Amino acid sequence: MGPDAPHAYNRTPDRVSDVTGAYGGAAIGMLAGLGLEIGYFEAAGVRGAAVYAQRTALVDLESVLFTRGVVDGLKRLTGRCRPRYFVDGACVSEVRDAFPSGHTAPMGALAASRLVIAAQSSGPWEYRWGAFGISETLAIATAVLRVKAGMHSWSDVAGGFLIGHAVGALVALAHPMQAVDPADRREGAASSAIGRGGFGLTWSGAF
Amino acid sequence: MSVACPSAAQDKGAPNHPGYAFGTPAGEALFMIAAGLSNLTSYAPQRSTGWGRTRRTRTIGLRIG
Repeated sequence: MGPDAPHAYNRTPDRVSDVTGAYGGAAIGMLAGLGLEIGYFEAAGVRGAAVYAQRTALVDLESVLFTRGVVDGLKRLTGRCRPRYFVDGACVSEVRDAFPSGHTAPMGALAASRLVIAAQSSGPWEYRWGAFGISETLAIATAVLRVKAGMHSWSDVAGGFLIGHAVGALVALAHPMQAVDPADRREGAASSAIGRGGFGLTWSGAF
Repeated sequence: MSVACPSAAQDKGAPNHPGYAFGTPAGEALFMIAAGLSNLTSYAPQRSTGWGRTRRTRTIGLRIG
């Protein structure tokens, strides 16, 4: 299917993409990421895990907001017809906001910001890679669903995907990572009780 | 008693978190405001560029009368 080929409207993938992408998907991705971020700090033995996790949620929110701004601006400038409105080689609708995909881009931004944060993580980083996996899966699923729905061509969703990733990565990089305040770390946390890179033997229980 | 295997016992370092944008609270505030204001682009007028036509159609006819 070419980038400008007509495509019939399909309601089911359109409705599902409202859940996996755009505001619905962003809410799901951000909540899942917040939960995993709290898990990250809990596993690292940090007091006030929910408070620390909000820092990452703020980066998520800014990534999504900036991406929406960029995407809406590009939609107004490019004026591209949606595939469902192609009829006999012409656009039959005044709605010409196909490029880039506004459902896909915010999910790409979430995924990229989560990727940058996970790549810079220390401590139990598997939680953060999990959050990245969820966001990236939602972004890819949304891109496929938007094409299936006839709402976008492949080039629209590819543009949204790439723009979202670029903006999300830049927003995350603007927030330099810093270590948790040692005063907020519980004594006996696994990572501090065991020597770096060595063999650890721990004892626990009531005697 | 619990015995930690070498891989589990490997220290992954101190946990970290994203700091303020550009390292300062003011940077974070400005960043958040800019992110919100960027959404004003949705109020810009929609251009119609013609992008998206599969082919350009041209009507060639003969006017009679």
